[in-house]
Amino acid sequence: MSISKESFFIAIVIFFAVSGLVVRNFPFNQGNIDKDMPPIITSFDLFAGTSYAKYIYDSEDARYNPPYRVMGVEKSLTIQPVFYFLLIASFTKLTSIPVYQTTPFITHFISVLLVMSVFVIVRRLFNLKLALVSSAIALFPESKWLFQLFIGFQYDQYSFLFVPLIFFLLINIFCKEFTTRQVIISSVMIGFFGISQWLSHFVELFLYLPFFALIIIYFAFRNKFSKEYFIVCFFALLVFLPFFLYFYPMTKEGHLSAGFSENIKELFHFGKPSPYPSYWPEPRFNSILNILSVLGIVYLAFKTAKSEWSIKQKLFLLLMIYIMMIGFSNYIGVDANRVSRQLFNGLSFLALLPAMGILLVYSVIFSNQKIKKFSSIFIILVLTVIFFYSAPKTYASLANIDINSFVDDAKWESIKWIRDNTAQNSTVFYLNGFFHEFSMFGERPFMEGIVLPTPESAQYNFQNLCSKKFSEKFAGHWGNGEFAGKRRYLKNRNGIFNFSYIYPFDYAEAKKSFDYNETMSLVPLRFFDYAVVQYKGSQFDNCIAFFLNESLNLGHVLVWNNQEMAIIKINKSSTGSKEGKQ
Amino acid sequence: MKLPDKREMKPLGISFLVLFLLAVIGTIFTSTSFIGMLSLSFAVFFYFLMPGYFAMLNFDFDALERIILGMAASSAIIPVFLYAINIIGFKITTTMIISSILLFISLSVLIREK
Repeated sequence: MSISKESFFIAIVIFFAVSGLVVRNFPFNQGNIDKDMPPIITSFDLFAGTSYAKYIYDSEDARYNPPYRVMGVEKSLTIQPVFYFLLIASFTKLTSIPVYQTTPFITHFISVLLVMSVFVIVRRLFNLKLALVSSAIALFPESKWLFQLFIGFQYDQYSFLFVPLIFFLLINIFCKEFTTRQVIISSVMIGFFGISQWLSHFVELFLYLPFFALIIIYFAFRNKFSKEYFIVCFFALLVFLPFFLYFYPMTKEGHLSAGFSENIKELFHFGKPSPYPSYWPEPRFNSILNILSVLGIVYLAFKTAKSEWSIKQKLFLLLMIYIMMIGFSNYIGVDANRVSRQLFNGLSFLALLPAMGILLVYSVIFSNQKIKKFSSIFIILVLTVIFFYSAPKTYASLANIDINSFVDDAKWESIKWIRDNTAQNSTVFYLNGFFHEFSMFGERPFMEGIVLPTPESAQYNFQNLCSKKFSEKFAGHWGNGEFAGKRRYLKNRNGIFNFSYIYPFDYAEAKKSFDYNETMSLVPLRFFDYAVVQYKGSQFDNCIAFFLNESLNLGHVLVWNNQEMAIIKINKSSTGSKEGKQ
Repeated sequence: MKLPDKREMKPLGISFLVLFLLAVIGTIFTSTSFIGMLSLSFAVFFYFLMPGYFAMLNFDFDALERIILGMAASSAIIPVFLYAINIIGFKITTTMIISSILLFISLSVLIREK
């Protein structure tokens, strides 16, 4: 069996990985990516990513917040890390399918691309066997593959993609594998990768910057500050700095408002381990991979003792150890929410350890020259076992993720009706709310009457309605926020660090109607244009029936309903218009 | 400037065929239309594969490295470029995206050493 046949085999494995995702049961679109609806409904980040990407796709502009995510404020400058959304939106422009479908597609695609990027690097730095086995392990972990699809955090996965690339280019530059022209091109690319991280999820930029800085410093002294050192720094910074300087003042108004040092300080709480968020799967190998990892450590130690590692291999192994150190640094008190994700992101690096364990077994078995000719069959057998052991479990995990969707077709239809049949500046009250703010897909400014985990507004509304009292005002939380400072948004940029601001509900009708509150607002029903309710299938059916009957008695109009949901158009003729709205 | 030769274009042709095949298989095994699947394959080819592949022709990598590392490079460079022109004031239209990709490919070929 020749090497090219092994490559063909890995191509088949990858094909199964991709096709497995295509044929699996998407509860919403039933695998039909033409459909104008989200394929999977599990995580807030997927909603957020999709809604931002859709706004960029529709408006063809990435500079502004979608008004429906900032309580109706028009043309406010976004401080969101817009890059991931822009990638999805611009990619979708070249297809005939909706953004709803391309968002999870890109998430899948980037996760496979990440494994493949590490595959080609390991293949070049070590050997094909190790690359094949480690990438197979990384492609098919037993469970929770595509952690990002389950939990969210696609941004970090995307941001992490550039870690192996920056590493690969840097070591090739400093090991003098490139000509001067190639060094310049690579340096420009490194600048682009850095910017991509900075504009998507900058945690990875800061987490891995010390490692890359150490590589640069190490080679600077090793190569006696050769010209590559200056070329890399100059060209990478030439690309990086303009974007950094453009975005930093904006993000300083929001995510980094406390400054770099304070944000970094917030990460560290030395003294006691930082727990994983309760809704996370545990980022751990299973027992078989743990045993193989121990064998892998033996293999590493054996090779190290014989000084068989080249400088490139040493640095790759150091990067693997660095990822592990970051990933487990929650045990010394670093915020687990930030660092433990690196164990999922860096899985394709960490898979190198059990793969080395398998190679140790391989080298022991095939030390006998007589059976050497069967060595390729052994590798193929290992790949087959990994696939048939892991893939069914992986697909089962994915199917489990799929059925945990917390909205159904009936709810989606109500959202879609709002999206397609109401004026752009209509304001909507979702009395029952939607867990994880699914309502943002309605693409209208909205307030939710139930927001988990804060029960206050639900208590207020349903205590009234269930005791047959139709209050003039309803309690709720306004959808999203994305503030740049205290309850404000960036309106215009007047200088590098100088912005003008705009505040939500800063117009006469809103001010007259209610006091906006970030936690809970009491808003008259007449302030809204539409109210969306779930009248069947919840524990509040009787209370909602009362709400519907009273609303109709007050002159509001039922404009749409299905077997579960109803939409009421608020009759404003007797209660005044909404002139003066932003 | 150095135009890619037949040997260098071959991986692109094979990738195109593989993506076309995936579109056909996707159409058979899902309820998605062929046009939908084909457009997705085309977008992967044109947006992710082509720009990065042409950029990677500037390096002495093999075909697989050029394809995979090139795709990752495309996913950084194309959106950054689009963001830059958006900041200047241009809209991110389909025409602008296609033009940007073609411009980047041309640039990659132009800076290639003979």
